[in-house]
Amino acid sequence: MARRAGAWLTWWVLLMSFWVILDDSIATDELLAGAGAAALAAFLAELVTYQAAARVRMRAEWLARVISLPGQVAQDTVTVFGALGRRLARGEEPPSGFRMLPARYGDDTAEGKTRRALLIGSRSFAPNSIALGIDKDRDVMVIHQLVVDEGEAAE
Amino acid sequence: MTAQGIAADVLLGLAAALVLASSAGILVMRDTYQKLHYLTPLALIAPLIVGLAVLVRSGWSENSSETWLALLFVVIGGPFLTHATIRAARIRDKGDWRPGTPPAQGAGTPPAGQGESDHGAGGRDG
Repeated sequence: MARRAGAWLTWWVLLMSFWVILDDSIATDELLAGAGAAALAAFLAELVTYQAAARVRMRAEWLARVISLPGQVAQDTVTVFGALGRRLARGEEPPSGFRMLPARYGDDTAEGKTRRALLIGSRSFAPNSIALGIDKDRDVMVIHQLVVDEGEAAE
Repeated sequence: MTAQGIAADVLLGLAAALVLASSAGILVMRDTYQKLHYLTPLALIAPLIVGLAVLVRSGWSENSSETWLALLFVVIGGPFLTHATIRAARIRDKGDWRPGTPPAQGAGTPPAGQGESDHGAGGRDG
């Protein structure tokens, strides 16, 4: 219970900070409105986290992939607009399809769930690929690509 | 007009062009799966370019900080929204997002396999 209250308080502080930054006012009525909104949002965030049994636990090395994302986004943007150009100019269908890439499912601990969420998010970040999920039985990540790239792995 | 103003206008023009091109992509692509790939430029790249334009115009000010804070939410949430949408579309089509599962009642296309086409053409469509 104390842990849940602590998590709620963390959410509240974070959301209240966002309110103050975005609202750009420290008038009492504005702060009260923000405190109420942040309290409600923190309650909903904690409720959803509880219902989904989701806890975030992260390793610093997982964030290393973030460095490669801008380059991947730029490359994929060229790819998808190239496909659009060919579609408009020649009526050519993009060679799209689903692919299964090796990706260890892992365990159901907070760390395992966070890892999967980050893998899926990073795979869906650049425009040419969107992840559907990681199949627990086969240890593969299913992705859809607008222009299929045969030579890469999920991790 | 200052160099900053010109750069900001160029960036805004680029963002507008990107949104128009993405809209064209959504319009001309064949199905939900293909169309979804044009949401990322619309929902992620164009807002980032607008954020850059605000940054160029205002520098690191209160306005640009607010803009980038809002962008942070967009950047974090966007990929997961796209993931949830394509997964829902796949489940609607096949009954399950995983390849190799039996098709849902009423779904006419065969299940996916490794490197499967989303349109049943042996690895790729088109």
